[in-house]
Amino acid sequence: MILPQLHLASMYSFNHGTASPERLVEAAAAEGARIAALTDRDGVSGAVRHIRACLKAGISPVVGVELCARDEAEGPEQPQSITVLAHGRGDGRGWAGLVRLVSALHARPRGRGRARRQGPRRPVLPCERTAAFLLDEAGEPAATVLLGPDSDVGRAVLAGDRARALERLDRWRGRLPGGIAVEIVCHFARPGLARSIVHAARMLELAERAGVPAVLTNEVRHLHPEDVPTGDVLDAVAGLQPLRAHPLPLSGGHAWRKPAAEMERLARSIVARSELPRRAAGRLLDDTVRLAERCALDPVVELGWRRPKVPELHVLGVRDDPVRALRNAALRGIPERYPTARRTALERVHERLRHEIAEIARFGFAPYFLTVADVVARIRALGIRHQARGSGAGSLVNHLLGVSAVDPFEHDLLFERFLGAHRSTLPDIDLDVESGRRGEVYREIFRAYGEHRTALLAMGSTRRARGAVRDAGFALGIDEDRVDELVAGLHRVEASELRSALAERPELRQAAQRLREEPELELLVELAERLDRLPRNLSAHPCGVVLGDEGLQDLTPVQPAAGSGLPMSQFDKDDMDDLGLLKLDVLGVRTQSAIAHALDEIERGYGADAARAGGLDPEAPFVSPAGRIDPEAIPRDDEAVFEAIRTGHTIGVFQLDSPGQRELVGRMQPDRYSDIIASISLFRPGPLRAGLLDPFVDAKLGLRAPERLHPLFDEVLADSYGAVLYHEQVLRILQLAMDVTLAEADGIRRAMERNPDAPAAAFRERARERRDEQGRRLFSDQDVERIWRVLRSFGAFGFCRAHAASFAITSYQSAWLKTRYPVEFMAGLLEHEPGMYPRRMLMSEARRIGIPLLPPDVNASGVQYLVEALGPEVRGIRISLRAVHGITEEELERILTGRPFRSLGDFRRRAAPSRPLLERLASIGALDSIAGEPGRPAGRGEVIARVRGLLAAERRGRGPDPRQPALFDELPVTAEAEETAPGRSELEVLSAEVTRHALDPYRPMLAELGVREAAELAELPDRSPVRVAGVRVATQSPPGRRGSRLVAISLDDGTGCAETRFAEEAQRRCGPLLFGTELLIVQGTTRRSGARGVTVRAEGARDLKTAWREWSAAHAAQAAPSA
Amino acid sequence: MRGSSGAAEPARVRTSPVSGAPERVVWRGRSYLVVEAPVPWVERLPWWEGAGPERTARRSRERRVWRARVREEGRAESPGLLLDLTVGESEERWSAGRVAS
Repeated sequence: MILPQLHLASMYSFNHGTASPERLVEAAAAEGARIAALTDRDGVSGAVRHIRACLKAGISPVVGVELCARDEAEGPEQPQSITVLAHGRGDGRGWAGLVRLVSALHARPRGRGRARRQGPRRPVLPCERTAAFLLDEAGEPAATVLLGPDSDVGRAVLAGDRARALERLDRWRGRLPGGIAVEIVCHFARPGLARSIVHAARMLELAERAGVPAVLTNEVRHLHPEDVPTGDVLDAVAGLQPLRAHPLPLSGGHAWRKPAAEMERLARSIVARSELPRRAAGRLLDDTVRLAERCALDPVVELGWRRPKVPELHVLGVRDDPVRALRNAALRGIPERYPTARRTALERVHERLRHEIAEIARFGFAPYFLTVADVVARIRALGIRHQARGSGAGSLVNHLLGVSAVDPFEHDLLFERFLGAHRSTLPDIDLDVESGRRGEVYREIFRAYGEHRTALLAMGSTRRARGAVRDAGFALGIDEDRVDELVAGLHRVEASELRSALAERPELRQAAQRLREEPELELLVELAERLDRLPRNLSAHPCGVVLGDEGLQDLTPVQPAAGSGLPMSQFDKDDMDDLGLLKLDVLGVRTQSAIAHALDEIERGYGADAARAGGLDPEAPFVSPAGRIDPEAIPRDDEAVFEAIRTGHTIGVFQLDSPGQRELVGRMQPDRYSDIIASISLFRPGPLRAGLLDPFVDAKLGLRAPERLHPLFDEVLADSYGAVLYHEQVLRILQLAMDVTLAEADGIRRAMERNPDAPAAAFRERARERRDEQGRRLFSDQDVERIWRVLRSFGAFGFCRAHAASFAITSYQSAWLKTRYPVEFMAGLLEHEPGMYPRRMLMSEARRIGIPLLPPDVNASGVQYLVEALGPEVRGIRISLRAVHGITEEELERILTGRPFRSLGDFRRRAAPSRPLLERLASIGALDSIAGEPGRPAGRGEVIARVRGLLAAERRGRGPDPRQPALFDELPVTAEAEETAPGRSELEVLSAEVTRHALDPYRPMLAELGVREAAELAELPDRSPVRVAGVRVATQSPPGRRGSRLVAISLDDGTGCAETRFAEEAQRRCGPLLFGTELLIVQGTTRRSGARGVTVRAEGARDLKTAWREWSAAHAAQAAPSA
Repeated sequence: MRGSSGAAEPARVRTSPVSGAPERVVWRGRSYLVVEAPVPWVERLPWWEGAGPERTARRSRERRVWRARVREEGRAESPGLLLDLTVGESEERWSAGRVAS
């Protein structure tokens, strides 16, 4: 048997190992090994990947962990390092013991019980606790502990203290009888140091003398010797010391995966250096193999590999057979979901339900569906908005159980797309919930199922280009400011693509120039590339929760998640499929919170008058008598809503508000619900790359007859105007063309995703065989080729219609609210800030609509953006006090409970704001209402002066004194009083201009320069020369179809957004201005696409402030009297 | 302190054709015999220093070293020395430094 390596760290030994578990297994398999181990530091987050790779390679996995342990009896001595290898016993005890040990390791509080050996603080386990996890009731070990060079035994040997070494070894044997081995490691360190050949020889002598098995490892942390420098960089980062401060001598030069033959030579060299006979080398190698065999795991037996594990039925309140319980629950949903369905329609519902239930029963997934339904019912009971997303919306069962609001019949969604024929793991159902209440959902899930069945999902935060350059720069000791300059603009770039990004991306031109001019930075780039995708740490997935049965913590280690402290699994979402655990993505969606806020405000503001206020029929069934609107029940064919969408003013509308989407809806002029689904599906990288957009829009607008694929598919492709756009359409076409079931069709589609040509022969053969009732061929050879050509290219750009239909619900609801209740909806947007735009852009959009924005007022503002009636038909949005920078919860509380305030002094005394906050409140007008006198409101400058005077008096010791209330209110306005620019103060304090748009001061110049307003652009003919100006609100550099990159800048001028596009020539002309300037004037020509779609093809750009200075100077010169 | 070498000076070393370990050393004009099996070790060098093609992360820089107890040839009664015999990074150029005891 090939000698296995038993001590290997992968990149999941964060900031230590450099190879992925998969590559380590590949190396073992290439060598012909039958067993491969993984022993990451402090955790097993790479273990499932390791096992998966082993199964793929046909070799047995061994899993362990390297951890720090402390002998409490020895006091605060440096913790030792041990490695624990789980035994494969066939009863899961080895694995369970290992993961419980890891959980215990992390359960200890931070600070005390953490080691700072070789850099970062690491958790420490008391040695005494190992037995509790690693011995069974009969005293049999479930794991073996390797005592290596950094164990207490290894240290005593290094110190030459043989008696102490033997005593420590005996102590370990007493803790874990039969579960101890001495680990022999030689990295050819300098004599006198751990891992020298002499140290290894003495360790082996000790093991022989004590009669304890010894195993040879190489404490691997790299796959190849070339990876060693990467490890040095990780050490520098982990130890927070640049490389030049590395303690010498450098270690770890030989910690790479040496081939078995080299390890065998090493064994002989170590024995030759010892006092042992030659045959000791053979014994060392034999013992190593023997331990590997003892630890080989059978994942199916030990981990229940891929076997579903969900909460027990009694936890769900199910006493019945789960399939029967599921069927009954679904049946109960029919009257609610299909209240008006007649006999034929109901028969269709029942037939499909029978089919889905049968399939679910065949897979054994009924408990899974019941669990998801239970979770959703709990979310609903909390009154939290939710919506399922993904292919799960294609299931009628999910619709009937209340999991998904999407009616699969309405959009011809297919259950088979969700649960195909060959699924072996639990399917995914993602749930969108209100972002502001996601924490409540988590807490409810943990409460309902218990922490022993529930955990947060983990994810490795991997390094991409930005982080990799930063880490490499730190390791090389490069000045932080220089590194900052290099990484500016380095977003969403993989470290491995750093060079190509530097060569291609316009926003990185300056950085690329720096690298050319400073050759010493070449090493920085080289190192950054090497750090590509290496995880930095384990963190809680932003939205993943896993559920299992009560054995969850025998399957996955858990550790407290940073922040929430909730138990977090060490495994990621891909691992959960193999472990058979149920993973729920509970996504916090800000638009859901914005909608909830808008609904609350409508009810609060209008009450029984809500329907009328929205221009609705007063008897509208989806508006309650109290004014509560049910967005699930609003009509899907409200023309006013489509008309609003067609204008392209869709900022704040879910999924339709990016610059590209706004242009697309302006072009395609949606007039039905299915157009929204199509729009969401079209604006994806695949369809865009495939050039599907133009023909689709042309077909939709009737500008071009859609290519007819085959008359048999007319119905399937009707609502996408003849284009094959959705996975579900592909399944239907494959079903009709090949005479296969939909489940089989889904299998074929999935195969095409991996290899588009895989089903080609079968498709041709079966399609040619298809006959009609008269025995004539259904498809000619030409038909077959044409259909195949379209299907094959589909692989590059298809989209799941169920997923898009789920999104479309929220898109339509948000568009409906924006159309019918714009003030309340914009208040919701300002409160929760969904989408890609900053708050100032949302305020600009509110102004464009004509909604008054009311500045913060300590007597009127709440902790949310609230709608305020300004007259019978006029409503504005009062800015929230929480939006004021630096305000604390305590200050908020005092303001809310203390009002109304009568004067500045009254406010200062009772609300007790900090001095900076008081000044900030004054600068944005939040104190205007209490600073004036009856009938004479104070100007902003006067308020600021009063506050300054008040604070100056306090500093001089004149207050605040409750006995002198009048004093502060009577302070004179000082000579320093001056009007400040409100826009600037507001931007600093609120991150947005409230009282005026940032462009307002420049309007005279813009008018003189002939700058067009964004609102005018849609009326201009194609290729009109224009100038536009505005505040940059979005910058993107999407790849063009010919490989070059466009720079797209959205400029807000208060009347809307002008979308500008800079091709390469214009980019060169504009230089750094393109990415670093906030206020721009852009010159170019219009490019029209469709009725409302218009962009500006830029030719040049100027910094608006520079232009203003020049313009002002010129005007001043003109105004000055001539000498 | 034992373990740190004095300044290394050029040396001529004859090695075993089997193990590659040093057997005889000429250092500071004197000839020495290796009297115990020398201990091999590896000294890593800071790869991030220097300039030009040498400054790269593509490989780790290291030198092979043998810690050898030697005795001057023909002087069996001499106390002997502990030397670190270092092979150059890229060529067979040896140097020797005395290990402080």
